[in-house]
Amino acid sequence: MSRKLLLDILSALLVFLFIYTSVSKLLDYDTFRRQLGQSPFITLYAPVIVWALPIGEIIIAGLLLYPGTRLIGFYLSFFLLSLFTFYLVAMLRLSYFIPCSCGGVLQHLSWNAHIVFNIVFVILSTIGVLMQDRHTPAR
Amino acid sequence: MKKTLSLAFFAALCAAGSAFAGKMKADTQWMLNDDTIVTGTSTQIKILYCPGPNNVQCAVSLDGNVTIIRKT
Repeated sequence: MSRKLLLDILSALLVFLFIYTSVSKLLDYDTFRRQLGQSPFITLYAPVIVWALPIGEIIIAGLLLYPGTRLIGFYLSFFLLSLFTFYLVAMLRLSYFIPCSCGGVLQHLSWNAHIVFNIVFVILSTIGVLMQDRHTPAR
Repeated sequence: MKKTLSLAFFAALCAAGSAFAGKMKADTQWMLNDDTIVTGTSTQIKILYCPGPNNVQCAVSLDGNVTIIRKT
């Protein structure tokens, strides 16, 4: 498999993930807002996050669409997915109430499955960063 | 570039379509612990009717698949 094809597949997987979860969150806006409001760590920031998160995901997906901006898209994917994973682990370890603010079918995953799912996508975005970095010609 | 664009765009279209299709699916009926029947998505039921400890069963779906909502 060529490096370019692998990069295409990695970015397509991340684009699918971000578009699917962001559109699901926006379609179920009221539920998402209430879930974020229940979260013990981010209740204060819920009114901002409720819009910033899905819009941020759509922007990252947009960056991943074009080869010229794909590297920054991979970096931001890595950052956001790592943040999600740390948030999940912190919630599981420190919080009594664990509301899931995930979009679409992801809310049906168990917490451990969710963490594994996130880690897999963190690894995919890491591979994307490393490969895209080498793939980009020096200027 | 065209091919790259089409693969990623195809993924984006599929994702948006899947999200809309999931939203349009009919809501499930659930039986709560007090035998009350309520309708909604599992997320809505969790938020509206299931506050409390996570390890306590709260609702069971009535659509054939035995799905249990635990309190959140």
